[in-house]
This record gives sequence, C-alpha cells and structure tokens, in this order.
Amino acid sequence: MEEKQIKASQFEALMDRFGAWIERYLAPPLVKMGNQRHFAAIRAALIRTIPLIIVGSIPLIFTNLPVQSWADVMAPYNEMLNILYTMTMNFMTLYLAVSLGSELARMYEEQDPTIIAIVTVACFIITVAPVDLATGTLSISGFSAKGMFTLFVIAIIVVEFMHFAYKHNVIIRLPKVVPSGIAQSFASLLPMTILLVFFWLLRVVIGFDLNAVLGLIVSPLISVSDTWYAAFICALLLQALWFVGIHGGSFTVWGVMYPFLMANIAENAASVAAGQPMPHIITEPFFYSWTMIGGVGMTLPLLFIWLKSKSAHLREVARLSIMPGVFCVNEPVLFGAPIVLNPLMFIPFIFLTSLLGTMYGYVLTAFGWISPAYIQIPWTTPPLLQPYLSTGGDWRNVIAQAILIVIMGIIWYPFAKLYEKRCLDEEVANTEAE
Amino acid sequence: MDICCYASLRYRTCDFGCVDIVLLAPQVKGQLDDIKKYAAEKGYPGLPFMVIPMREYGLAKADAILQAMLKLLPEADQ
Repeated sequence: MEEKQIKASQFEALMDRFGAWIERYLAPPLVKMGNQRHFAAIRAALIRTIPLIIVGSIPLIFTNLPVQSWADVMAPYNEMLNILYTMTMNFMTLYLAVSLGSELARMYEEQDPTIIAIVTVACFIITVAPVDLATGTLSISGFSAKGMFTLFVIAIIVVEFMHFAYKHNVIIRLPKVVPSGIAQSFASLLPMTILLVFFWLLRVVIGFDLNAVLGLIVSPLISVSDTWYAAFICALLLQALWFVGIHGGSFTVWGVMYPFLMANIAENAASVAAGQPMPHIITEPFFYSWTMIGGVGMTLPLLFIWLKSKSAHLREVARLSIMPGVFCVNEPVLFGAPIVLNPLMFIPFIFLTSLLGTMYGYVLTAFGWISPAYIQIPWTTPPLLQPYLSTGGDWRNVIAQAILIVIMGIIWYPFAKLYEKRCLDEEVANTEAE
Repeated sequence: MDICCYASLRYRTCDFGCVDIVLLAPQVKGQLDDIKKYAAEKGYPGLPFMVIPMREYGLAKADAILQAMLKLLPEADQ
C-alpha cells in the first residue's frame, strides 16, 4: 500500500512538472502572439460577424432538407433562399471589412472607428472588385471568404497609415472650435486620399491583383489547415493551454486557425449550394462536434459521473456545471473541480479526450461515414443537436457523436473515481480535524 | 456595488476612471500586464487589479471573491 502511495505521488509529481513546463515554456509565446494587437483585433472582428454567418447558413438548411418530401415543398423557394445565402455568406468579407476597420481603429485612440471602417471598405472594394464601367457591374467573388486574407493586409495598412499620418501631422487640423465630428472627417481627408489613390494605382492603373497573389500564397496554408495533423496540433495546444488555466481557444481554434476555418466552411457551403461534394473536413463546427463536446476536454460525461459522487465537493461541482456544460461552457468544472493544474487529470484531459475525439471525427469524415459541416452554428449549441444542425440534418453524425460521448465516459471513469477518492479523503480529514 | 463586464480583448474601450478595482477571469490572466500598462498610460497607475482565484471563479463563490477584492482596496474605498 505504501509502495502504491509512493508511486502515485511520484506520478503526480511528474504530471506537476509537465504542467509547470507548459506554463513556463509553451503558454507565454502563444499568449504573447494572441495578445498582439492586430491579431486580437482580427479575432474580435471575426467573432462579431458570426451572427451574420449563422443567419446566412440557415437558407442552406431549407434548400438541402434530408427528407425528400420536405425538399419538394421547399423546391420553388430555393432560388429566393439562395439569394439570402449569397447576400450573407458570399459577402462575408465585405461585412468583415466594416467590423475589422472599426476594431483596428480602437487600437489607436485618435482614430474614429467609423472613418477607418469606411476607408477600409473603400480600399478593399477597389482592390478586389473594381467596377467595370462598360457594363456597370463588379465581381463579387472577392467579397466571399476568398478575399479574407487580402482584407487583413489592406485593413492593417489602412489603420497603420492613418496612425502614421496622425502622429506625423499629415492631416488637416481644423481649429478647436469646430465640432469634433467635422474636425475628424477633415483630419482624415488627406491620409484617406493617399490610401485610396494608392490602392487605385495598384489595382486599376498598374493592374496588380493583390487578391490573386495572396490567394496563391494562402492556398497551401488552407490545404494544410484541412489536414489531420493541423487538427491534432490545434487540439493538443488547446488542451495544453487550458490545462494551465489559459483560454486555449483564443490562440488556437479562434486564433490562428479561425480565418482558415471560416474559409473552409464557406467553401463547403458554396459546394453544397452548387450540388457538389464538400472539399473540407476541418471547420469550426468540426471542433465543436468532435473536440469540445460539453466544452474542452469533453467534460460532460465527467459531470454525469460526479452528479452522484460520494464527495460533497464534486457533487457541488457537477450540480453547478451541468447546465453550462450542456451549452459547452465548462469553466465551472475546469476551475471548480479543478481540472486545471490537477496532475490526476493531466493525462485524460490532454491526451485521451479531445485528441482522441478529434481523430475519431476526422477519420470518420475522411472515410465518408459521416458528413463534414457546412452550416455555421453557435458554439453553444448542445451536443447531439450540434452535429445534426451543422451538417444539414445528417443523423449519422448524431449517432457517431453519441457513441463518442459514451467512449469518453468510459475513459473519464477511472480518473473521475481516482479524484473522487482523493477529494473524499480530504473531506474526511477536514471533518476529523474540526 | 456596480459591476461592469467587458470582454478582455476590448479593454481599450473601458473607462478606467470610473472603477475602483479591475477583476480578471483566470483564463485570461495572460492579458493582465497589457491591461495594467494600458490603465497606467491612461493615468491610473495605482488602480488595483486582481485575477479571480480559480476555484472561487469555478464554483461562483461570490463571498470569497468579494473578501479577496476588499483586501486590495484602500481602506477609504471599502
């Protein structure tokens, strides 16, 4: 028994050291990158457009209903629904231009978010969709996810040049008695002119298509983002950061990967709308369905195990955490149990749950046994409903997720019981001490 | 007691002049230094900051968080 206890405490000490290593070497550079102001602004701007993307995805549900008789009822309305889909999803980068311009403007106090948003939109449209005066039309292909990376470059150039102009007085300063709204408009006139002329010269006069060039550069990255190893690394970093109590999603799924995930789901949606096979597996709903069921680390089954725990503390944790957990918010159990920095939870949390779930989802999708997602859904959508809605009603995804939840319950069980014993021993010791 | 909640990424939109103390959720503690620096630049270098203790945050123990908060506030403000 003593030997077992020694081995257990040696194991915990080893897990403690791993946790300390993550906190000391892995987390800081990722946190620094995530807090970088442009990166943070892009993230915030993307998140602001999510409701629009969700609404834009809804028509796809109606135009691709899984039951033939329902599909026949909706058939006369498909074209009208596709217009709604096109005007939202296929214009997402145009709307993102407004959001990103204003977010970047907030980095610098002197900048008016509305003016920066306007300039960003104008420069973006000139670059990706210069009007054909002969026909009075412009191409909208750049307004979709295809133009996203071009927008990032343009928006950063716009805000940094405006900041440079303000700092070095390349502006028209009106007397202080002039109302601030008018003063701001005139102040931005000169740098705005320079920016618009610059992008006009680049695209229209010189004929340099920035969007096409960036598309060539980014395309391999988009391909890499859609691989099993990209998903694996993303899930591993997500778990490792959360284990030390840092919001891993900010730097992984909703950080570096996010523009690629948005581009991937937009292309999947476009493929479905065109009646073609979906090209991408890794999307944002992929992570909700296979990596974060009930929250990072797939803690929902753990809560069901602890609901009837002999430990008063764990019963309280489960009771408080179950409702948020159904909506994929699991900070209560992560910090309350705690799972964060808990050496007993290190192995299941980092290696056995979300990583396995990610590979499970990827393999099943790659083999064609379940569908990829093409409908953007809120990340708080409860399990079982998530895979159904994000795939336009594919019941196979629901069954696969249900099986995964059971598997996760089996994986969590021994660790849940081990920690329960630890908590019980502490509660008994505290009671005796009192 | 009035409480204002902001997404940590939007700290530049906060008015630090009308708060007595800033609490940060434990999962975004990595932003503490940046936010402190920004508050100091805005003219509030002495503004108390606290990362909410992990367990109390997870279990929503408002009393314990309040007690920890009050210890950081100057006596006059308590």
